[in-house]
Amino acid sequence: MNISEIFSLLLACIFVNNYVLQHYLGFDSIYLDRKNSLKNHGRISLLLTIVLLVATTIASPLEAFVIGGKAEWARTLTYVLVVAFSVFAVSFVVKKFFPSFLNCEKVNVALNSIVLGTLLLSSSNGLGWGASYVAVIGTGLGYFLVSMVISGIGRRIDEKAIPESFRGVPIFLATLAIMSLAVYAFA
Amino acid sequence: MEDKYRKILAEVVFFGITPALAATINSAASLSMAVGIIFIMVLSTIVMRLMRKLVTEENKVFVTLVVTALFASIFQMVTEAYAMEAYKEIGIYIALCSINMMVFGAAYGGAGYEEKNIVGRVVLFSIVFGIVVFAVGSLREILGAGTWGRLVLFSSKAQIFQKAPGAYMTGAVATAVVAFIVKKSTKKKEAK
Amino acid sequence: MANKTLKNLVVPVIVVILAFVILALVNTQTYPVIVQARMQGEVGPALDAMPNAKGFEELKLDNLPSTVQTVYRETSGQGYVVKVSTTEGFTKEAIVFYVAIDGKNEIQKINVTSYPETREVGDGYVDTYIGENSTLAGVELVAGVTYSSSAIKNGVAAAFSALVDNNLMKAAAKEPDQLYRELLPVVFNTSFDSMGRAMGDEFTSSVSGVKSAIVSVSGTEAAYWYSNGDDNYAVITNGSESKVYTLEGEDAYSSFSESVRKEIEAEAGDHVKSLVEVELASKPDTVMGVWRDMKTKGYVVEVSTTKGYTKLPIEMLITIDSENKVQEVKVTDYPETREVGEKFVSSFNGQDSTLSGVELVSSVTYSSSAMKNAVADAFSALADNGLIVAAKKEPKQLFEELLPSVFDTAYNPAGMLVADEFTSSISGTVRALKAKNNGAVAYWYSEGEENNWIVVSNGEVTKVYDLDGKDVTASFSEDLKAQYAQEAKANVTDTTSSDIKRFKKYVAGSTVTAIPVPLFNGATTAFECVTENGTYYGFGVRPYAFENTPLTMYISIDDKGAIYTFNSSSLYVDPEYFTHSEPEGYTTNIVGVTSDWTGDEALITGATLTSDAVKDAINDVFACFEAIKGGN
Repeated sequence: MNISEIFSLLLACIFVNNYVLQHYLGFDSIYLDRKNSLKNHGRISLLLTIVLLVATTIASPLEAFVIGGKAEWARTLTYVLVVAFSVFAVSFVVKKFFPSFLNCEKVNVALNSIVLGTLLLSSSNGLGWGASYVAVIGTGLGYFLVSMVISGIGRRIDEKAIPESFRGVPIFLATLAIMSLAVYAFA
Repeated sequence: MEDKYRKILAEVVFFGITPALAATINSAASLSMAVGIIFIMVLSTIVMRLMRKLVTEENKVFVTLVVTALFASIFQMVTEAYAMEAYKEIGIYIALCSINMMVFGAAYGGAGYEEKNIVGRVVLFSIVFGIVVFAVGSLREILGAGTWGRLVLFSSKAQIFQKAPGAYMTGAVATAVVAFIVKKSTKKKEAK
Repeated sequence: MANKTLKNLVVPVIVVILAFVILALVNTQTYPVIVQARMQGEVGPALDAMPNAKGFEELKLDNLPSTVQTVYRETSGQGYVVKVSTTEGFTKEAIVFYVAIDGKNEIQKINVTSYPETREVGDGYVDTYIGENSTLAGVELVAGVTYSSSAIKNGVAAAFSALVDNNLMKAAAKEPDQLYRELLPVVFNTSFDSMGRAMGDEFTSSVSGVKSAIVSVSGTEAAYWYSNGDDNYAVITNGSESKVYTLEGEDAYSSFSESVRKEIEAEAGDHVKSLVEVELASKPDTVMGVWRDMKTKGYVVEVSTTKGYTKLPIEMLITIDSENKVQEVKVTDYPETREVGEKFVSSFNGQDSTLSGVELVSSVTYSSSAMKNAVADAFSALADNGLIVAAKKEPKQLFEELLPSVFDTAYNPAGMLVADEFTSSISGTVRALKAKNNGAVAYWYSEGEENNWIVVSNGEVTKVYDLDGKDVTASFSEDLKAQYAQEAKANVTDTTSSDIKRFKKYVAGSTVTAIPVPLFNGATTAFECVTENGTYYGFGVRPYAFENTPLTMYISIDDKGAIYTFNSSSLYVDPEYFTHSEPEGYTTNIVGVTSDWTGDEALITGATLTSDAVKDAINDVFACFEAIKGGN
């Protein structure tokens, strides 16, 4: 892959092909985090990216040699295990060396459909090893972008002006709808 | 249903709908997805409930994960084998159901001791959820493609509903409706 | 403690193992079903191509063309279905179709499952393939959808090759006519139409054994199809040399009968041109190349002009005969938006270098004048290099070609003369023209064949030109000039009194007196307007703005040279572009400009003709002012 292909894949993952906005992944944890500060968003995204990197490193060879075409029935379970393992590994390392970094986000990250989703999409799109890494970085950045915007908007939403039924979840989904509409124009 | 569950129904639906939103492109696909989620959720909860003595605090997350993944894979395989058309639409998204928070949350709760009636509650939740998913799928299909299953309703359509923005919009409306219904029924209950 | 560890570690591990086992079990049950279903999904389209098939067996073949995806053999011996996916079409996205080939090695049906092209090939197109064998002799491309239809045709051909190359069937032999037709693009230098057929003039050959003969578009080569009963050949000749090929494209010169070849060459010599390129020392930009036709002793000139409407090259081949007249003009590339018409192109035939009989086509003026000028350039190239002698232009033609530059106020922006003919009382006048905006008069005065002049006058100023365009006013007879000036004055409508009234109004409080118009330009009346604050000069200017409607403007200028007032009876703007009349603030922008202005103040967006007319009018006023001041 040359530089321009890498760059366009990256840009695509952040904007046009944003996994949150176009592939409906990961917005449940964004919802939970929406009152967080920018720094926390950055940290969570970073953690997400690292977990993904570890998971991709393990999953890619597995996919290529073990699963691909032969043992497709095992894919979901294997990927879930890989994710669980990477989350465990990363949180262990973080706790040991950077204890003040984050508290209990690991569960958030593990259950985040974006992790599993990215892995599955990478395998179904047939991206090779290198391209998967680029996609992972793009995913992390895209997630960061969306969570930033959501929390920024969230602060500006006047809760009282919204009808009671729409508060919380529905208005969040509507915000995502508008964001994805904006991004959709790029596609 | 108890109050505290009723209040968070909208949020529960929301958590459940996350991986499923992609599959709500048309009513048939969303129906299959709803069936799948019900299947996975109920079975996982039952299994976890049965295993609650074997599972420790530290283990719970991991075991739940494995169990839900197991049922998700089973559903995926069975769908691909016997319902090829449905699989073509929703196949890849079934896997994500294994970490669907709603499913996970239900199964997780199943392994706990507090809720006595969890299976019943889960069944109820899942049916409500199924209805919501089906409604979203139907709405998206009607508005986005002018058809509903085999019926062709309109010739003019707003294609945006078939894509991501439409999904989120209908999702927003659907969860708002659920919240509204909950609010109304809570008020009614309080008035009694 | 052990209990805890047991639960902590062992249970999950057991659960995982159990999960895998269960999945594997389920898989054994479902996998065959899945494979079947997938196969069914594949086979569906194949079944649509061969509806009577009992079943399909996928063949594992090497040697497949890149566009062939899968080859299925029908299990009861009915034939084959080949899945083709080609990206050679217009959009470069895959066109996918299934070709059913029956036991007779003919196409039974084609089922198209994916067609992403922008244009349809038409519903009946794939049906034209039914019954065709591997030669695809009866299949044509679809005009206007050539990329897509040729992608399909090549895909079907690939399907056949897949079978042939794997010895599943024998290729059908192509008929000689198909072989010949397909060979020509390789060996014959001419243009080919969108179907791949050779273009050029066909002719009947008198040489026995010749099946067809055609001369190339450039006229320099001829292609013959010759058959002596058993063998077929293609002979390409320019009249003196030839190349001979078998229909497979192999060189057959040495084995071909010499006598027949010479016969063909002799006959071809009469049909092809023999052209030799001529090097020119200098030539106009539009001339690409010049060839001498050794047989006719004429010339062929290739020209390309970008002075048309679209500014894209219009290319032509001009054949000039031995009498230095145009034999034929062939247009080889025409990118203009409007056609000039066959009549215009053939109006060149028989014309000499004056092109006096060629008229421009109204409403296609840019294109037709670009072409006319290109032909004129072709003649100049030949004349200037001494190859031909340029014909002399008749005075009539010279007069008509000179008039627009000296009588410009009578021409509208589209270049058409807006004037009335009248009879002059001055003897020697051949023609008298009176501009319809009553501004000026033009005369053609002649004293004997060789002496011709154009006289233009607005009653005050008179100018005289010879037919080469030289200003000879000073040397011309004063008496004649006076006569013409007087007659012109009588034929020009006198708007003085009405103009005086207007200027009295526009230049408030002024006493207006008429003065002689100092120059021959768009200003038709001139006045001196004296007020308490100073002296102003007023001019009535009447140019053509839009087609044949004159635009009357009354412009006054102060004695420092700045525009004082600007009024018009109606700023008639081109309704095509502009729906309302004079835009707001327009006049205020113009007031105060001096002769060093840029012209932008006169601009009305979307009404260029009017804007230009206003700009020219104001410039004419500045010029008159300069003349008055300079004269003082």
